[in-house]
Parts: sequence; C-alpha cells; structure tokens
Amino acid sequence: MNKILEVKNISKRFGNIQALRNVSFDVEKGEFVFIVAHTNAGKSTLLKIIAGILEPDEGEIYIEGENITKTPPWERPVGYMPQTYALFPHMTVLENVMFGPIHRGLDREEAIEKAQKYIELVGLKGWEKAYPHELSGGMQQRVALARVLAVEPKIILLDEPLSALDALLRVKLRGEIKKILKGKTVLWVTHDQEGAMSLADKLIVMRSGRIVAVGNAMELYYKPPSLYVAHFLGEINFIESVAHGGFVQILDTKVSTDKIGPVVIGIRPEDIKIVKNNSSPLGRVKELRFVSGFWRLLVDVEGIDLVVYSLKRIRSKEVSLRIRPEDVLVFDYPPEGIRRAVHLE
Amino acid sequence: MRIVVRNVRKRFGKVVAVDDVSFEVKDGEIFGIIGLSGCGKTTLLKIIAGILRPDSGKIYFDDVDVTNLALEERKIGFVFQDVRLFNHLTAIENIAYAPTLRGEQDREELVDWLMGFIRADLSKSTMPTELSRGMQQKISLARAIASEPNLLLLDEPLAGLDARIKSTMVFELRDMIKDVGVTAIYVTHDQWEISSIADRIAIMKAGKIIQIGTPEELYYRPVNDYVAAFMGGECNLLNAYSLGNSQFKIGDLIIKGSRNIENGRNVKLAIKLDAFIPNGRFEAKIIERNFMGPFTRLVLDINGIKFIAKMPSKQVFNVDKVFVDIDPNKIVVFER
Repeated sequence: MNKILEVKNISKRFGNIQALRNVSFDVEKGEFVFIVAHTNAGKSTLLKIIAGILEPDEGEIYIEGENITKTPPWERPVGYMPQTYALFPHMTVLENVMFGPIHRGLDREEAIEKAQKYIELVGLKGWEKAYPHELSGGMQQRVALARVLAVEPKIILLDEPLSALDALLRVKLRGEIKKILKGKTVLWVTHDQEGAMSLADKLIVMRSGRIVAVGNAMELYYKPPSLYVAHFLGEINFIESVAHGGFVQILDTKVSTDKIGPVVIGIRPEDIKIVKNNSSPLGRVKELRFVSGFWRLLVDVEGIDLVVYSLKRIRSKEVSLRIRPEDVLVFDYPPEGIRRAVHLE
Repeated sequence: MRIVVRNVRKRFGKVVAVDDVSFEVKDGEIFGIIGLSGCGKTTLLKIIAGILRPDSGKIYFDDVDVTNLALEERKIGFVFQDVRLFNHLTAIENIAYAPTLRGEQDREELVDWLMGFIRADLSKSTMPTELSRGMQQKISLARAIASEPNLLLLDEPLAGLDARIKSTMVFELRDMIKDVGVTAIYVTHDQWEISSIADRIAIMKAGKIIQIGTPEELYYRPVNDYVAAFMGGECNLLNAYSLGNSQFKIGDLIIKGSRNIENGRNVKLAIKLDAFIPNGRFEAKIIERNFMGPFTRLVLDINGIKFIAKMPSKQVFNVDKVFVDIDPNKIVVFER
C-alpha cells in the first residue's frame, strides 16, 4: 500500500446546502481514479478542498501521510486543473507553463527547461510563443495540462477537463490525456459515466454530497451495490417482483436469491438475448432504433416493456427472449419507490 | 404537417450561411439536422421558423407557401437550449398556457394527459425554478406540444445536461413527440443524440446538406469520409489498394469490402468499430482496452495493423487475443 492521498471524513456546508457529507477515500500511487456524479453532487467542491482553494468544515486531507488540511494551496504538492483551464490570456504558452515552477521557487533557466519538457510531452513543441487565443480548444487544454504537470505534483486533480469540447473531440482527447498522464497519480472528476468507466483504475460514485460506491468499473457495472449505481452507470431494465422460496422469476428464468418479499430485478439490455427458439417467451417489438452500431429495441413481453440491445437488425415483429440467471441482479424494493431511488439530479 | 424546404439560400456579407438547401420533412417525422458550429444549421432553423427571410428559395407547410409569413402565423413550437419557461407561473400553468389562451374547456384533460406523459410528481404549486434543468426542458416540450403547433423546432434542447441524464431524456423526448404525432425538426451537434431521436438526419457542412438518411444509412453508407467520421463516431480510416473481386490489401492484410473497385486502384477504407465479429479467422492481439459498459473499446493488432474495435464486453473478458472476422457490410470503400 502506497497511499498518496487520503481524504478523511470531509464535510462542507454552504448556507443551507450540505455540499459534502463525511467523504472518505484513498488514492494510491500511480492510480487513475475517477469521481463520477451528477451536477451539484459536490464533486468540484471536493476537488477544491483537496487543492486547498476551499476549507472543509470537518475532516482532514493527507498527502503521503502528512496532514495538509491547513496548508495553503501553493504549498501543496498537487496540480489542480479547473474546469475552465484558466490560462493567462496575456501570456504565451511557455510563460503559462513556466508560471508554476517559478512560483514554486525555481529560477528562470530551470523553469524554462521544465516548461519545455512538458510542452513537448503534451505535443505542443513549436507552439511555445503562441498565445492561448491562437490555439484551438483542444490545444488550450493541453497547455493547461502541461502547466499542471510542470509543477511535478504528487497528484493531479482534473475537474471535468473535457466538458467544453464537443462529443467527437471528447472521445479522442480522453484517450490522449490518459496517455500523457500514464504512470501519474490522477484524480479526475466528471459527470460522464462512460468516459469514467473506460479509463478508471478505480471509480468513486457520488450522489448528493456522499460517496455511494467505490470499486473497479466492471465490478460496479455488473455487481452494483444499489439501484442508483446500477442505473447511473448505464441503461438497465428494472422489474418489480416478489421473491419467495429462495427464488425470483423473470420471463422463464428462475434466479436464486436470499431475499424475501418485494424486490426489484435488474437486467442490462445487452444481457437479454434474442434467440431462435420457440420455447422461449415471445415478445412484441414496439420500437426499433439504430443507435451507433447496435439496435435498441423496446419489447413488450407479457405486459412488461424491456429494452433490449441487438447487434443485428431485427426484422420480425415478434422475438423470443432468453435471460441467463447469472446476468440477473436482485435488489431490495426501495421504500421510496424505484423512480426516486434512481433519480439523477 | 409536411414541411418542404426548396433551394433556400442565405448570405451574410461574404459568408454563404445556407447554400441551396432543399429537403422535405414528412408529416409526423422527427427530422434531425446535425453539423459542427458554424455549419449554418441555426440559420436554416431561423429561416424555417420565419425569424429570418431567405435571399431566395421557398418554404412550404403542406402545400402552402409560408416563405413570406411571419413567425406568429406559422404556428411553431420552440424548445431551446436555454430554458425559457414563465417563471412567475407554476409548471402546470406553463403547460396549460396556450390551451388557456385558446379558452379551451377540455384543457384540464389535456394538461392531465401531458403530466402523465412527462412522468413527473408535480404538485399544482410547483414552480419551474424548483425543478431540475432536465425536468424544466420536459415542461418546455410539453408546453410547446400543448400549443398544438404545425411544427416543433428543437434547438440543442439537451445541451449542457449530464451525460446520463441526456441518454435517458432523449428517449423520453422521442416518446412524447411520437405520441402526439407532431412533425419536428431537431438540431444538435451530438451524433449519438441525433441517432437516438431522429427518423432521418441531414448532415450539414459549410451551408450545404451533404447527406440525408436514416441513422443506419448514414452510419453504414456514408457518402464520404466526412460523414463516415462524423456519424460513425470513431472510425478506422485506412489507405488500401484494390485487388479486384471486392478484395483490398492493407499492408500484408487482405480483407473483403462492400463493393468492387478496379484492380490496382488506391482506395480509402472506413471500417466501423462494430465491424469486428468474434469467432472469425483473423487472430487479433488486444493491445488496449476500455470498458464502456455494454461494449468494450479495443485496440487490436491484426498482422501488425492496428484497428479500433468495439465488441460486447462479455465476449472479451479476460482474454488477450480474439479471433475475428471483419464484416464487409461495415466497411465503406472510397476511391482516392
């Protein structure tokens, strides 16, 4: 265990709003950790507290075992990249990237050397004399990244670095950032669950100021601890049911469970298979949509609407469906009802 | 209502914002327009709405020429990126606004119906400002639908929302629009969003429409590499040359494409990420993987050539190589 960052019981209130409630987690050396949550869940506040821009009401922050809760931001060994990049518009790329090292006591020569090293790393060699407004959005973002790297922090904190960019560019840059930051310790905050799952070594899901799940992306996607996490990480069918005698049933599939009474069955659309088999339950295809490489069907089976993904176009009006017991999730029925239990905002 | 746009042009100074655009939207269709910012899609929308007049060309609603009709006379329902609800009215009063103006007796019934369909637990006194932005947008759409418009225009209604909220709302908006059967034009720059909601899509670039088709057509049969890259999301664009018989050579690799090109010609292949089918004859080493839920994005090495692929996650669990075939129907061949 080589903990770089330890966040312990952090709480923060703004007036009547409890922005963070008792938040604790660790980041280990070389780990790529994502905090993923809806807007206003407190994730940016948390990052600002770690960066030292905000003070917590309660709790402590440790870096390599040292309590830095009261340390001013410029003395913390962290590199923080805010959502807006906040490049200095009147400074060139080189001056922007040199700023941190100089501020931390390096002399001009050393700072230039350091800046050049990281400008090259982010792929902007040759652009040292350009001003931010002369660069595209993606390039500005890389300058911001170089600026954060140039202070050689123990941990890099990224607040929604891709939110200002359009969808296509986002996918491309996501991969590039991961490559540039390879081997570094990173804490990245976003609302984009797909992007987070695709890059994270560890995923932290927050909801309304609390951590509701920590784990690896596949674990949380396939074995989510709650209805909320199941729904937040991707489309899923929820079906109300009742468990008795150690079983629940969905279509003709029996699933064993230790739950008793009202439950919610969860099944991902890609885990419902369309089969050529007359003995499997029949459903009526109510809707068929092509969504970037696969088909999304809405199928009515015995009065229940199921979303089903298919790699092939389905031409018939009726389909036979099969569900494997090992793909089925069983949750306790939430007292507040399903809709409230999974509400995203 | 059927909408016809015929040879519409609009110029601002030296810039041709809309360049001889023609298309037809069928009655009850959700028609998408997609393009990067500055492609002219907003100008086109304003011309259809009657906010701007075209320099030339005509707009018809059914068979009526509305080119010179004012905005108010066209009866259009709008939903914009920035929510424009009446904040001094309750959410329900917002929805009932147009029926109330019309003095309709059955508006309670209409409002009840709309409320059921936005699937919300709203009390009679809920104000728009108490609602999340996603819910506010649903109220905006319900209000626009309640005004019984000839045409709904939706301009980036989901921009700025969280990814997961957007991906649930897009299907809800489609259900609402399809249930009433109103004709709609939906503008966005997000290809995933437009494929999820629109029946057909027009791709705009520099004032021109470069292709119109269903999401499937644009994805698998793009007219050029711009459309391929734009609608396919990520795409493998590779230089190759033709061996005849619909066969193509990339490095040492010979694969089958979707059409025949004369032997020896240079081509560009756009290979879709979902073209890679498991249990095939090419051995592919997995160099990189990104789990994305239902699908995993892979970087594959087949005979020393790198491909990006997207395969069902459960089929590529815990393996460092897969055997794949490349589906010829998911390879688009462009002549160079």
